[in-house]
Amino acid sequence: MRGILLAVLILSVCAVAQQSPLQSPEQIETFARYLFNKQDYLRASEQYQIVLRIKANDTIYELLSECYIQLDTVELADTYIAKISKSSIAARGTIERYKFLFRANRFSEIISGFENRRGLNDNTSRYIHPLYHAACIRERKTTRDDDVISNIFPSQDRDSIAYYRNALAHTEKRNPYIAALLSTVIPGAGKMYTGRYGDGAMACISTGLFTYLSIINFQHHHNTRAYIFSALGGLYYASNIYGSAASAQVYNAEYTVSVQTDFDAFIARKNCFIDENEIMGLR
Amino acid sequence: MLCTILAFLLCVPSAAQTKLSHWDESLIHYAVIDSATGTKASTSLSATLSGVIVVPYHILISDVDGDRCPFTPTCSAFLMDACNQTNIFQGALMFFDRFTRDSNVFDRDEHYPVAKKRHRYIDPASNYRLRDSLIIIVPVK
Amino acid sequence: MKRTGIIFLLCAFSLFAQDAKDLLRRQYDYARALQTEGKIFDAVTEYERLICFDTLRLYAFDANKNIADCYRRAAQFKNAIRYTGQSIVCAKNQKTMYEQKTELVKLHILNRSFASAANVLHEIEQDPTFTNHSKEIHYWRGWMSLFQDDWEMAAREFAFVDSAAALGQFCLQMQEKRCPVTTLKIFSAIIPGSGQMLTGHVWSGLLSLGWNVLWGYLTFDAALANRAGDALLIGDLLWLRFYTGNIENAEKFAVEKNTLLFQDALRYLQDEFKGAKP
Repeated sequence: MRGILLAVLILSVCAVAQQSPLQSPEQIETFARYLFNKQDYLRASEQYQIVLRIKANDTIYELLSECYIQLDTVELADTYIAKISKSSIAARGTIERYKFLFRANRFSEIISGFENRRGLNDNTSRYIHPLYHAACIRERKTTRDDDVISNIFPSQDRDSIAYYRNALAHTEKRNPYIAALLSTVIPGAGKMYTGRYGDGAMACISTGLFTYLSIINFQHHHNTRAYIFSALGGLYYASNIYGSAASAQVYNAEYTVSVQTDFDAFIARKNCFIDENEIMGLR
Repeated sequence: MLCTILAFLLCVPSAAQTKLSHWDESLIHYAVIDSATGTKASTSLSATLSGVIVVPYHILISDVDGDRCPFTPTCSAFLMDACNQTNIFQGALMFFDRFTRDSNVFDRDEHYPVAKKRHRYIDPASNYRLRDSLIIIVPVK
Repeated sequence: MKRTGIIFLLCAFSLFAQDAKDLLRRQYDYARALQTEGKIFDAVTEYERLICFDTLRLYAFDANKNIADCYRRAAQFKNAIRYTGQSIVCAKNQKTMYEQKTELVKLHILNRSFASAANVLHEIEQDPTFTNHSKEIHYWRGWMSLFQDDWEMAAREFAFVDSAAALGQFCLQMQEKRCPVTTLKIFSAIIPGSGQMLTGHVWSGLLSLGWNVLWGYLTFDAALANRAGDALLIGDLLWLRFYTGNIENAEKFAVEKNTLLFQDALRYLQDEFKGAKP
C-alpha cells in the first residue's frame, strides 16, 4: 500500500515537472505584459485569464477588457469592465470601449449604450457625451440636447460641428424630380444638373440622332426602319429621364459619403474629444 | 496520510485555457486556387425573359468580340441584374441608361471607382433602382 | 510513513531544484515537445515565453527559428518570414545564418514575394563569407523562376546544378508544352479564328471567322457600291470590333491554357518531386 502511494506521488510530481517551468504567478503576469506590449492580444488575454484565477484586481480586468476590445469582442470586454470596482479604472475601460465603437463605425451601439446608460455613471458620461452627439450627427438622429449642443464641444470646434451637423442633416443637394423634369424638357439636361456633363451630352446626342433618323426614314417612306428608330429613340428618351432621377440620388449619396468621411477624420483628429492626459490621470 | 493526499492534490496541474480562435496546421498549396463565385440564378419571369436575350448574345457575340465593356458588371450582366432585382420594364430603362453612360468616354475616372482586377469601372445595378438605401458608394481614389 | 514523506520530498526537490539555465532548457524542451505533437499554436506561445525570460538570449535563435517553422506549417508565411528574419539576426555562426537565409528565400517564394527572394539571394551571393554556395543560389533562383511560370529561365538556372538535371528537363518539357501567345495572335490576325482553333476552342474560332467574313464582305460591298458612310460604319463598329476581339480571344485562350498547365505542373512538383523544394 505504501509502495503504491509512493509510486503515485512520484508519478504525479513527474507529471507536474513536464509542464512549462515558467509558471509562477509573477512570471505569467510578466509574460502577459510582454505579449500585450507586442500587441499579441489573443495570447495576452489567455495569460491574463490564468492570472485572474490567481489574483483578480482592477488592473487585470482593465487589461483584459483592452485585449478583448482590440480583438473586436466588445461583449467580452464589457463583462470585464463591469467587474472593475475602482470607478476611475472602470471609467478608462468604458471610454476605450466607446472610442473603439466609434472607430468601428458602430454608431447605433454608442447611441443605445449612452441612452441606456450601459456601463456609464456621471463621471464617464461627461467624457462620452461629445462622442454620443457625434454618433447622433453621424446617424442623422436628433436629440433632446440639440439646442445646447454648443456647450458640449470645445469652443474652437463648435463651428465645425455645426457645419457637419447641417451638412449631414441636409444631404439632398439635387432633387431627383427636378432632374427628371429637366430631362423631359431637354434630353440630358437632368444629367448635367447632377454634374454628369458627358452623360448628359451623350443622352442628348443619342436621343436626337434616333429622332432624326426616324423622321428621315418616315419622310422617305421606309416605315419599318422608321418605327425601329422611333422605338429606340423613345427608349433612350425614357431611360434618360429615369437615369437623371437615379443620377440625382447617386449624387446625393456621394455627397453624404464624402461629408461622413470628412467628419470621421475630424473626430479622429480630435481623439473623439477625449483628453488622454485627463483619462490617464483618473486614478 | 492526509498530508500525502493533500500534497498529491496540490501537485496535480489544473490546466485550462480560454480559446477565441486558435489557428492550426494548414496544407501549403503551390498552385494558387482562384475561387470564382457565380451569381445565383433567378427563376422570375423578368430573369427568364432577360436570359432569353442575354444568353444567345453571350454565346454568339459577347464571347467572340473580346472584352469590350469598360464597366463591371458588363452591360449584358447589368441587364440581367437589373431585371432580376426589379422587373423587365425598369430593367430595360436601367440598361439603356447604362448604355448611354457606356458611350461617354470622357469623364469616367471622375465618377466611377476602379476595380483592381482587370481595371474595370465599378457600376452596380443596385445604384440605379431609385432606392437610396441600396446605393453603394465606393470613394473614387 | 515518515520514510515515505522523506522519499517524496527528495524526489520533488530533485525534480524541481534548478537554476535559471535549467529552467530555460526545460522550457525549450516543453515547447519543442508541443511542436512535435503538432500543437503549433501552443508551441508558439511557449517559445514566446522562452524568449520573454531568456534575458541572455541563449535560446533566441532556436526559439525564433522554431516559431517561424510553426507559422510555416500554418501557411502564415508573412509571420514565418518575420521570425526567420529575427533568427538570422541571432544566428550563432555562418552556417546557421546561411541555412536561415535559404529558409527565408523559400518562404518568400511560397509567399510569392519574388523581389524579396531575389534580394536575399543577391545578398548571399555578394557576401564574401558565403563561398561555395553558387550552385544552391542557382537552384533557388530556378525555383523562383519556376513559381513565376518562367520555365525557360528556370531550366537555365537548373543547368548550373548537376543534381537538378531531371528538374531542368522537366522545365524544358513544360516550356515546349506551353502555347506561344504571340504566335497565336499573329495567326489570328492573318486568319481570324485560327488562333482560337489551335488552342482547342474550335466553336469560338469558327464563329469568329464567320463574323469577320460577314462584316468584311458587307464593308467591301458598301465601299464598292460607293456607300462610304455605310462602309465606314460597318467597318468601324462591327468588323473592327470582331477582328480585334478575335485577336484578344486568341490571347485569352492561350493564356488560360498556359495557366492550367502551370497549375498542374506546380501540383505535380508539390506531390511527386522528392528533391529540395520550398
